[in-house]
Amino acid sequence: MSRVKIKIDGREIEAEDWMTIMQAAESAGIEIPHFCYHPALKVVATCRLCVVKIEGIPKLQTACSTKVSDGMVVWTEVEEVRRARADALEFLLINHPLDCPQCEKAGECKLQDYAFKYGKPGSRFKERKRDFGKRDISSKIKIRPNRCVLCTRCVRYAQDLLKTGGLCVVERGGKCYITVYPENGFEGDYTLNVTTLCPVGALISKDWAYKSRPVYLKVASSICPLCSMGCNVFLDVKGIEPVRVRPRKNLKVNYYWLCDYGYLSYKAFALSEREIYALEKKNSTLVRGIQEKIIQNLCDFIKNHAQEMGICLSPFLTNEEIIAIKEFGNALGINSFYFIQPEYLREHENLWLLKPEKAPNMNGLKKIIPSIKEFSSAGEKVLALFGWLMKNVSIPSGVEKIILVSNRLPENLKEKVEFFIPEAGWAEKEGSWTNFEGRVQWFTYAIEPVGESIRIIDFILFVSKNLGLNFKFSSMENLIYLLKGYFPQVELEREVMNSLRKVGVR
Amino acid sequence: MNEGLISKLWEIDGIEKIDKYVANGGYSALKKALGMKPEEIVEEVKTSGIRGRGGAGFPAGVKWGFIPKEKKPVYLVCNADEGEPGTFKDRYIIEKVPHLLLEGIVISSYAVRANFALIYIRWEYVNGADILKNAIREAKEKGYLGKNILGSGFDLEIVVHRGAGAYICGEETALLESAEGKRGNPRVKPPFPASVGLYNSPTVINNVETLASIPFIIEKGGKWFAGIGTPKSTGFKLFAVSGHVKKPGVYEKPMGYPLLKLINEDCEGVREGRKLKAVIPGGTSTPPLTAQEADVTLDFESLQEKGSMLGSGAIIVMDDSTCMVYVAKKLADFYSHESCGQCTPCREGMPWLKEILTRIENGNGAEDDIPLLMDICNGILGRTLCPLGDAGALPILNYVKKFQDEFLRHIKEKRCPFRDKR
Repeated sequence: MSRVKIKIDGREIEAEDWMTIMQAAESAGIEIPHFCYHPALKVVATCRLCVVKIEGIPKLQTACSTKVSDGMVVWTEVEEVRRARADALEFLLINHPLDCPQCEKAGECKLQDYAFKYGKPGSRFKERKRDFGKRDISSKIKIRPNRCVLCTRCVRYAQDLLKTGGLCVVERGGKCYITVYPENGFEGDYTLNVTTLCPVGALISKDWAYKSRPVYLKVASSICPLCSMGCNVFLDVKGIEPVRVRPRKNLKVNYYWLCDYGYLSYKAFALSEREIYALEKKNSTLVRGIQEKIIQNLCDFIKNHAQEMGICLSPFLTNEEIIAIKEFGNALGINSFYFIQPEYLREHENLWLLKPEKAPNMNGLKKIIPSIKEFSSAGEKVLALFGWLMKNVSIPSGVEKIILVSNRLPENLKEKVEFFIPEAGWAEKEGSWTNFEGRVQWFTYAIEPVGESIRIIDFILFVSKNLGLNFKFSSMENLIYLLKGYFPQVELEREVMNSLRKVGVR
Repeated sequence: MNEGLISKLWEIDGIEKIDKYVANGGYSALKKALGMKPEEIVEEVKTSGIRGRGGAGFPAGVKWGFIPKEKKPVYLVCNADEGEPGTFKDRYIIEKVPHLLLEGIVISSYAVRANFALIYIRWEYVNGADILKNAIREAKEKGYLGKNILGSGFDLEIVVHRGAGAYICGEETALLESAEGKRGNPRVKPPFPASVGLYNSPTVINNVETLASIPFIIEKGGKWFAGIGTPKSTGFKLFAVSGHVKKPGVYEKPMGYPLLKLINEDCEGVREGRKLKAVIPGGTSTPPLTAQEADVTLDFESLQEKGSMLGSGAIIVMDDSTCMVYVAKKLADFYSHESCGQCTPCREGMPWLKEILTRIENGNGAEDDIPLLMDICNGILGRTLCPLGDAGALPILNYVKKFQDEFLRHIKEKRCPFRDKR
């Protein structure tokens, strides 16, 4: 391996000698339009959009397949290249239905973007457009072959990465279209990746179809909460409702991919799945009231019961929240911490991105509170339970009263819950989780907490102020500083958070 | 009488049987070759200057020289996927002198140190495949094939692989994909097959006629072969003449033979009362020559000068009853049908050309269709992954340019003016 010097559009660029022109340009921030090229897939050089002019070579060459060499001079914005690109786009568009107004991809479609940026203004096509109809290729995905540009990313993904196949190109020439093997179909745990791989609106997740225009979405750079893998994702929120999850590139964790459960993970945080109003028990029923008053009452309750109280933490809490709760407990003189056992699922055949531990932060919990015990061993009569609950939890029989700070109020707890404070949802809080290999990863929020729900850190600060407790922290930044004590290998400061926040807000 | 090499052999009755072939001097070149070093054979072939007979005209000896000397198996593939419309020369070799081809393959395999050779034969050549299989069995029985050939210690297996009926599989990398059992899509080049070919191993791919010429080069020497034809296009070449001539067929002529002499003397000219209108000199993927341009010699250089190519040597003669719009339409139809569909310009451009040309032929053309046709052709030319895009677009562009008045007549008269002549 050695470094070579090349020139792209007059700019001197240093690149590794194994790189292609596309990779070198990408590393220097020069955009070369492409459909079929994808960094994780085999190069096929078929879309012919990434053609560039190399001095000394008579024909245009594809940037995705041509290796760099020392002294190479490449032009991406000369007339010859522009013409070739415009011609290729014209060819792609002649049979394209141009149904952007009703296309699910409109707004984040590469064909749309490129046609505007590099294409020709009108159409010279007078013939009949071909029609392949539409069909489903699996229970989760539908295909609109008319919109397809036949980049074959999906086919290569299924063949080379999944190795299960399932998708293929049938027919020849202009009659080519992508379909599914009739016998085995395209089912599995990792199929929805093809919908984000697809640069156009040909492969559509049925779950996402017709939900929103991408322009209306607020995006959070987030981490998938469904298991301890910690896949990096974008969480898209429409209004106050999370509507979509997409993989976010991280070459150390999930590359460009996400499992199908991850794609649908936002569903657990839908408004219909959660409580967003504070509740307190009056005459043995839970009723709504003024939020501040309820928290005031809760503070009094804590004051009276601090001696017999235990704290239970959900493995969905962030590292910062765990530290805050630990500090809070210690200030109150509480030393017994318990965790809710996450689900363990080993039933999946292919555990590529799926970890059996179905919670994001079991690792952080054990690291920050090493003395933490299993929930079933709790002997206290009063319990404060913090963090999201994914399903019903069984409560040790000795527990009589519960303070619940969570996203939902399980039916079997209603009897014992004295106070319920709604916690901020996935799209509404920021923090970090420690994944299965001890990697601390941050996520941001897209929107402010919905309804009366409150971020746990704000809640703790509010309550402790009310109770007059002395604290080591007063803000998120302090907590991140404290976090370094537990994870010395972590390099992060406010800049990390700030940069993340910039990504998160569109 | 016949002065050729290959065609002289196939005129002998029963030469497809090994005894008759050996009696006529067959496999003597193999004996001579096995006494030589592989490098000497490659040198001899380089000296002969023989250029690939499949269409591209790349010097065969140079191609063999590209094979890296690593410890990876080397494969030799004989391209018998003779799909170019108008070409039927390889068929004659396969069906009439199969042992000549086998002898050529054994010598070539020995030269590039391949122990496995594959004959990829087009699906339509059912008879040819049977004849080849039979010939392989005969050669094995006599010890010209298999283990320890003629006691030299050299082993070679030859397998006949039938294609599935796709023109694109005549392109060498698509052929390899197809031979590996995949969809016949051309690969990205580089790497070239000489370094990464069949099953990722170095592979030599040669046309049937090229391989069938090797025994003569070995027997009579590369210098002798280089003395035939022109300095840059050496040796004899098979020309498959079809179309509006009185005597169509395969003619073996030295390179540099005049085209008009071949048409007017050997083939006895076009039909009675007709005039020559155009000639396709090297299969449908080469641009046509008008009657005025037809005064040319048949070798790689002269035809290139005229803006056409020698290609596979398939000469299609058209007299003045031919509608050039119809010819262009037929071509577009063929190339849009045979496009593999992986790369954009060819997949989308060819059917578009076909639709427009069909419209013009049916009398529904408009004047702005002509610049559009040329634009589409230019949009395909040089922009595709494999040569099929050029093979379709370049001739069509030339039909539109050279016979533009005929296209305009179709548009003005709103009908095909040749319809009643056919």
